Amino acid sequence: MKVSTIILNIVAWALVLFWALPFIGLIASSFQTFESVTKGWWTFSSLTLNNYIYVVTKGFLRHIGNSVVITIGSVIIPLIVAGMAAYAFSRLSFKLKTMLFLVIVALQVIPQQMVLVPLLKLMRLTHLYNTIIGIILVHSAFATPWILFFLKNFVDVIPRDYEDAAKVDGSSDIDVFFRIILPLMAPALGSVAAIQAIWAWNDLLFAITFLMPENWPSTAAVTTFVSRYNPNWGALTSASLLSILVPITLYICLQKYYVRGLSGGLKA
Amino acid sequence: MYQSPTLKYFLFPAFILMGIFVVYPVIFTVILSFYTEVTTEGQVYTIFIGLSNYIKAFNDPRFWIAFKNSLILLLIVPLAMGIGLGFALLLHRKDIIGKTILRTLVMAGMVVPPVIVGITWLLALDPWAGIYNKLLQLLGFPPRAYLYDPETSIYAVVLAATWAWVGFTTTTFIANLEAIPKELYESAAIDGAGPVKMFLTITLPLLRPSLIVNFVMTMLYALKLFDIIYVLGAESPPLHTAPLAYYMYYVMWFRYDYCYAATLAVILTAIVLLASFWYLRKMVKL
Repeated sequence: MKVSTIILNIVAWALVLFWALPFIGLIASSFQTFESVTKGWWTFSSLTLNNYIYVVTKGFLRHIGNSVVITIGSVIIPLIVAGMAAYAFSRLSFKLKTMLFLVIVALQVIPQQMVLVPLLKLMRLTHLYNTIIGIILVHSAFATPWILFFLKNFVDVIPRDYEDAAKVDGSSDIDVFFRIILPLMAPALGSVAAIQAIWAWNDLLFAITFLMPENWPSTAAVTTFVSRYNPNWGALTSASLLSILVPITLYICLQKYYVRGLSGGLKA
Repeated sequence: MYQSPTLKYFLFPAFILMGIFVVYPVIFTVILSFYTEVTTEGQVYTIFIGLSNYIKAFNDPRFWIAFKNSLILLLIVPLAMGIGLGFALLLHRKDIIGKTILRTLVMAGMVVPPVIVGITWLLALDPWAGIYNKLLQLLGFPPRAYLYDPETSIYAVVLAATWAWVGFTTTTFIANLEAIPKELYESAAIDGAGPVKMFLTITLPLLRPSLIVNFVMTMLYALKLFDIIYVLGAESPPLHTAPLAYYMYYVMWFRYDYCYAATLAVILTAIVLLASFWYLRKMVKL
């Protein structure tokens, strides 16, 4: 091996490890006592599982459960709803189509803050406030514009021959959608599901606005351990690690879908 | 061309969902920004006050602090793009051993919940338990609570947010780099071009798509940043690190001034739309 290659490798590893230090610290601290964390987790002066036992006895697993339910609902609903709309949008031509499309594109970038106040009033009025189904509906609706846009671009390039043949045989739109279009959309659906799952899991603002603390998902519940003058490092880091497990696993398993989903925008 | 008469019903679920939970609240927020709520003898009255909320924002010193903080957070754009491009060029090379592990370590940042990013940096910058604070102390800096010091706290937020977002920019850059045909470099090498010339004449121009995507997405990320600030500024009125995206939440939950909060949301949205206008126009043309 050339000397330059060796140096390059050392530089690359050193840079990345330096970059990852805060994260390594998070993992290392979660297995240490408070005293050894305050001395510096890099001293590794203790090894314990007590932090995990502590957050589990505080009921943290219930919050993980909430996250799982919210995430699954917030992926499946917009996927089907926006998938159907994307198909119709791609195949139909009607008045207002361009205008509706413009609105959908603009809605993709709207900050969450823009809907908070009226939604809070609406949720209280309809008794959706502090319910899991309520927050799933909000997440689903908020994700529909970009998923619709993403999937429409994908459906646009699916040739019509298959569906035309099926229609000649007398299949209904529902049949065509679920038997032909949906399977053909599979790669795009994979990317959308991967990105949307992370978005729903990671969200904080909707969760703390529309749910009471006992129903919070894990990312919101972690913040209850934050304390400026008396940081409970053990609880903070172990709860963090528990809430990170699902997104990291998803990412490692579905890496190609993320890259594909993100580079979908590269044609711009 | 034949169009199925029932296909239009496929649009309805999506439009109903968006209509109730997105379009209606967006319109209502705009309307609320022209009103104010007055409570007299237990009754809440909503009164039209025209542009008064906007004038109030204009004269509100806290609004301008938040505005300035939002601008400072835009530092994330050059930082995350520069570091992301550096990592992408390094980790794109074939001669790096354990490339997959290194890539995952850098890129996984984009899936870490921002709340956890905040906690990670709470620890990393802690004067006693923080590794980065310790390293700075080894370099001769005195121990300092960078996160709670009004002079440094907003820049600590910039660092934490950049750290998390570099995963996204690196991913986008690597995807783009891998799409550049190798033949271009081979023929440039035959013509005697050096690495710097190759970078400037081949790599950089062909990276244009990812440069645009990263620029716009990072700008939107910086303007909407909320979770990291929520964690890093917890437990004190954290308004010296609060950008507009946080100040709106503060007004809503700690001052119960829904109409003024709506006004701030409208201003934030206007800035976001302005920042993405050119990009959105491009998307529609697709």
